[in-house]
Amino acid sequence: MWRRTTRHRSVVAAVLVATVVVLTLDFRTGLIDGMGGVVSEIVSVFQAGVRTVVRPIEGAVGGVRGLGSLRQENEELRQENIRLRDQAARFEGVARENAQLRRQMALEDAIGITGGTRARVIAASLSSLERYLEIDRGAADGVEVGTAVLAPEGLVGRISETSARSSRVQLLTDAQSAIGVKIDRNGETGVVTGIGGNRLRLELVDRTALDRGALRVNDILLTSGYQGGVFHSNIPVGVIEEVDPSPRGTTYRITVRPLVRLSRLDIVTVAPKPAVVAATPGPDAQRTR
Amino acid sequence: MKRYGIYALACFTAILLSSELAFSLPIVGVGPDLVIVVLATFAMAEDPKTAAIAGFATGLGRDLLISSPAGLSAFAYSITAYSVALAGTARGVWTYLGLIAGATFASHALFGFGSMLLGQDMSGTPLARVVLVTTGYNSLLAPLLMPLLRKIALAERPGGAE
Repeated sequence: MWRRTTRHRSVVAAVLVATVVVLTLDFRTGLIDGMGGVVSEIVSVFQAGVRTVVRPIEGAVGGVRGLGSLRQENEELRQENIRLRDQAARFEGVARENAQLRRQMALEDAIGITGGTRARVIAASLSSLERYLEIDRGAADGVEVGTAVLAPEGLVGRISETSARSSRVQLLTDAQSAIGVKIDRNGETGVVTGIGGNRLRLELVDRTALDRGALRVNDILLTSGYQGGVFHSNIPVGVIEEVDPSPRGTTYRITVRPLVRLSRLDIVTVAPKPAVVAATPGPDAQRTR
Repeated sequence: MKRYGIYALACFTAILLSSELAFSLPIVGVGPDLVIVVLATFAMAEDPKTAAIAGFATGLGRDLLISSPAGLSAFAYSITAYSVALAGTARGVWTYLGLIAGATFASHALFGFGSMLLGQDMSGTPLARVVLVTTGYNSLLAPLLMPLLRKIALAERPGGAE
């Protein structure tokens, strides 16, 4: 019994020592980051493959789901319908992608973004404690850490890490995310932070403005563009869903719903930094598009 | 040796599938962690020391793919695999499911608390929800994967075939 306990202790101690060594290497050297970049690079190739396989299946599942309402019709029509739906499911993805790209370009035109890099979402975070996505464009495609990532409806997040051929996008909803915003209706400013779930929290809004009711439910939030020139201004971020005074009345709890459905992303645009756009408005922007 | 190769391949596939499911089929925003399902199934058929080493290596691989401090998943997976191996082989489906659920819960709770201890900002992260939903998600998928995974775990083991 004593021997067994000692053996357990020695294994746990060995695991602890190994963990401390890895943590130290991670905090003190760039070794782990470098290895992580290489591993991410390899995994992203396979992830892109898995996505490519799964995408048509998602479309087909969507098509089959819609068949319920046709059960009353006769067999011949039903068969015909299945065939058409099968065909439609195949084209649906292409049409959806086309429409999405058009809307995306409309948003970019509206906020004056040129030279964005289109990217495909290839995976989500392995850890549910973090909210990020992997995209299939990296440093070799001109993607830089810190730049904004957009969907047709608005801001998705920002690039948090890049490797040569893929990048990691920290979503708005990540607990570490904080974006400077303004209210579209009156220009009041604040900071939107992630709270881990599907909602955001609006903070640091001027208390006097809050007391006089400057914020209303359904107000649209746009990026303020004050974040050291990282984000363009006027990118739609979210809509105010709830404005609740705290029980003691000392503060407000403002809940924001992101405009982008972060779980349904396919193609996104990595916007160049605003300063880059100002410095090189023409040829570079054309090249990266 | 071939068994370890198959195990590594199963883990790699689990990483790809977990990531894809987290993206295309999340439950309240949370995806499954199929890597721990593979690891726990493997650990059931191993001695505790080997299970701990496999857990550490697997966790380290996961650490390289996420943004949290490297070593946390390695620690959580290693301790979990060691504990599962101590519990021994699950004979029935319910015991298997119980071990998978317990392993998922323990590894994610260890990972979450480890993150907090290392000063990661967890203020906005619903740790309890993530742990519970991941455990539930894994418990839903484990019965589907059980036959294949057990075959892999017992492959090439002397007297390992059921």
